Amino acid sequence: MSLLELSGVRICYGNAVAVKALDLHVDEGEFVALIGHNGVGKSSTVKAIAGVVKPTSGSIKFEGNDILGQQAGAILRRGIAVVPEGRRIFTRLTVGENLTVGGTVRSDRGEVKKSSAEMMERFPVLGKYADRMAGLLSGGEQQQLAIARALMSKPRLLLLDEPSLGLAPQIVEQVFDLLEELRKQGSSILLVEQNAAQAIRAADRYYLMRTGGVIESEAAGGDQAKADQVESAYLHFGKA
Amino acid sequence: MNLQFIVDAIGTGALYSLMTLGLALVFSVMGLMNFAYGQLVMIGGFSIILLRSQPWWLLILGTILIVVFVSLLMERLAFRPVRNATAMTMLVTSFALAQFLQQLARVAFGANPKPLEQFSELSVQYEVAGLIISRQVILTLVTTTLVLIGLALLLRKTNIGIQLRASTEDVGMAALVGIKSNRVIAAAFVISGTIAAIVAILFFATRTNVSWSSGESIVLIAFVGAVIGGLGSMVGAALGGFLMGFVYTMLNALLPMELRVFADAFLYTLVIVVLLIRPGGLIAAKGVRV
Amino acid sequence: MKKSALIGVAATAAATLLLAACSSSGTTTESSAAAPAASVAPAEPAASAAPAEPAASAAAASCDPLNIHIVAAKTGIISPFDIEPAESFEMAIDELNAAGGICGQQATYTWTDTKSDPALTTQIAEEAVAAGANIIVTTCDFDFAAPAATVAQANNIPALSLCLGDRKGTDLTTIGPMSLSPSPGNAFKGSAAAEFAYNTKDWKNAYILQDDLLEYTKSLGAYFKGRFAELGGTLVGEDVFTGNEQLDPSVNVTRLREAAADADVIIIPSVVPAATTMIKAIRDAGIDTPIMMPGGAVDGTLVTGSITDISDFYSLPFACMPAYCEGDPNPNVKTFSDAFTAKWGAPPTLSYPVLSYELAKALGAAVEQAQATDGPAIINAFETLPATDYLTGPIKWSPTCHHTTGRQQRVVEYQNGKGKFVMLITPEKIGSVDPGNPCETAQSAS
Repeated sequence: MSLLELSGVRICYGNAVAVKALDLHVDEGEFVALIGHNGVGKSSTVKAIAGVVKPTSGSIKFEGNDILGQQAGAILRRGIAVVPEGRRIFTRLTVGENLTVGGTVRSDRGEVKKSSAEMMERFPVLGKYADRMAGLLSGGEQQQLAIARALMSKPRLLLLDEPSLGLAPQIVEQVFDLLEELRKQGSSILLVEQNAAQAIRAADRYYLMRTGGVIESEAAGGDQAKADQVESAYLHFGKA
Repeated sequence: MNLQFIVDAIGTGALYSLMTLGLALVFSVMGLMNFAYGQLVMIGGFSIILLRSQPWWLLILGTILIVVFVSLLMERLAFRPVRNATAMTMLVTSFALAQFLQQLARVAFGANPKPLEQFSELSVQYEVAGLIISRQVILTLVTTTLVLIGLALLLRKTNIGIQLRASTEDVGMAALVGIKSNRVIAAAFVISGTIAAIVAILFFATRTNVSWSSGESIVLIAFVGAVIGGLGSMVGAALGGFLMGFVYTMLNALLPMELRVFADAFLYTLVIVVLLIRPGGLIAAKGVRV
Repeated sequence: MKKSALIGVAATAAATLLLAACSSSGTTTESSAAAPAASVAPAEPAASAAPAEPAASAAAASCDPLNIHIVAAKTGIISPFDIEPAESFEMAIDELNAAGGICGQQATYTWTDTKSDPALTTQIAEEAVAAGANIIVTTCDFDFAAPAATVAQANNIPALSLCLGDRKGTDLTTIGPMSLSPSPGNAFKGSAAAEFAYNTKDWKNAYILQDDLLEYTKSLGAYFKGRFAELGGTLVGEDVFTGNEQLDPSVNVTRLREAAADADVIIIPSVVPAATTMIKAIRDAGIDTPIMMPGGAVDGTLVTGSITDISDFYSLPFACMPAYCEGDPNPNVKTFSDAFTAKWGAPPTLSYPVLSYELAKALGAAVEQAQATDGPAIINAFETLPATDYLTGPIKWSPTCHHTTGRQQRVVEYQNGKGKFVMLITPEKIGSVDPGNPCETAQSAS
């Protein structure tokens, strides 16, 4: 049984179809990338899984339970945490408070505090600026905070929407290093990215999303040449 | 100048400051200028009349409970259905609600002001270095300070406070981290209702009657106070409300007699000047700050 | 007038009731004191309601039924002064109707709430005119009555104020000759208060805390000051406030505290409820100097209910109402209060209902006398009605001022939260404040 399983998911906004019929799965401990151009429905897919938009038809199962149509809070409680596009950290909360808020769904406040301390250890920059307004952090630091905030809920699956968007190349590198590390620690990850080459290289598997549908493939698993090859192919037909 | 005037002005300023905090809090949480806030104070006044014969602690507790109950009811029945509507819709809803509560009070308690037996406990006066200060003024100062500190601690140190501030900034993201916005907004209405009840007790302690129209001027002062303080900032709201009361009283104290009756006009002219110089208010903020 | 009234009486000889009603207005005795108390509320209808047959066919020929539109506040700042007066006005019309009607016709009335809003008042008055009103009853205060009175004046319809006290409503020029009030006016009350202070109480030094909310409060203060100065009194201090809901009395009290030692009395020309807030603040500050309101608008249960231990407070109402005041020398006051209570379920809480009751009874008399219902004829009849005791003593209107003369103001003293009748008072002389004011002259002449 897959951890997350989407089948025949169709998402419409009024009369406009954003996603036609999407099948996708993420297994326990797997790092899966969902790549594709702007506007092919990647973000809609993330929103559907997170419970922000409701698909018109199809099914979304998490650990075998149907979660389609549930509220965002309920889905989070089941174990899916989101790092949204644009990070959306709470800029007027301190770094520490952002972490605390990330642990909202956990009942034991003591444990939340402990996790918060762990996060600050794992992400030293967050520890350093714990009492600073989060809006004052740099883009990369904010991305770390967004990921740490999502991790605060102890998720079974981490959903990341375009985490490299708007970041300098070396910062993007750091973000991918971090994801790799998370996977090594056993986290299940679904990454949505336009930055195809890096995503393919890092992920166990990837889905290439097009307006027509999805092509599934094994990922490069660190092989730079193969990743570049896929990307150029992807860019090629993407431009067609 | 008689220094006593400054004591008087501080007393009024502290009360207005408290009024403004209750209104500004709900605004900062859900972007709603709740014009029915004045009616909460009015309902507090009638609660005092109903509970007048009870021991003082029961009177305070009962008044807070009644006003908080109405405040929650307001949120649940009137504001929740329009929460995702435009700011204009919410504003109109709050006006309609204010009217409704006024008419309800008029039917329930009559069109004429209801006499309010004075609280002799609060009118006791002390003389300190030639200045006279009443227990009501002392209590107002202490309460306003405590409420301001309390709000700051609440917003800074408690989970509900942090959630409140998070919801203010990005309600969608707040939902994604599992914050229950219904609960958070209800909490804001509980706090706002509690402040309205305390305002009612302190305000009506100096009055001799309560009428269905009693809340009208209060909400106006609080609204203008919140605007000049910088909408969304708690310290700004407290400061804005304080200045409204302080300056108004000082105008009454210092203007020559022929001009004294125009104190209102002078006050609102100053408000306009402040807003021309600092359109965002004295302490501009885009969300709830402490 | 007398002749036509008598013809009316003769033509309806069978209707005893109408006879009684008409005779009171038709008795043109020159001596005002001789006029009988015509129709104290409960007595007359009880005695004579039964034979009220559909009589008066002959007299009715010249009279239309009165279509009275009451344009007064049921809500808002002025409603405390309108509600009971409008109710007692209605009560008096009901009594006249039960007694056979006015000039043989049953009068009708309807009351629309102005919400104490001047713009709305104009609109309601215009609607009343469109609906065929031949009498418009306006609110108890000049500022709030003026919009409706202006509309009535433009249409030559009598604008009878329930009880307004400022001369602008009765001087025949500010609004016009159709506007009229049963109040003796502020020249009378302010002067009476000054004489009571100076002559009766020997208060030579007064401090005035003036409420500038209304023309009423301002002219009341002006006449007190005028007459008090003429008597030789000294004004030791003067201050002003606006008696609205935003009133913050602290600064006024601070200023008063410095001057209080020199003052024998603090004069507060104001209205409830602002005045009680001010009085409470003064007493809370430990200032025990006597306080006087030179009129009847700070009086009644709103005072005794909110300042339950009020002491050394004096007001000048039109009656000492049993609900809060003991000892009115005129037994009609109690009879009226009982009848009002029976009709409306609660006793009058202020003295103003007395004025509007008298106004309604005088309206009946005026129409009987005029045997006509066109505006100018009714007003002319009001101006020429003999001095008549409608309830609290003989009063009359004059062709130069549409306030009443002849009235005796009461002085009421509050001690320990209870009102007590002190004396009847009619000023010896009216303060000279505004020499061109016909009401000042009319009061001085009477």
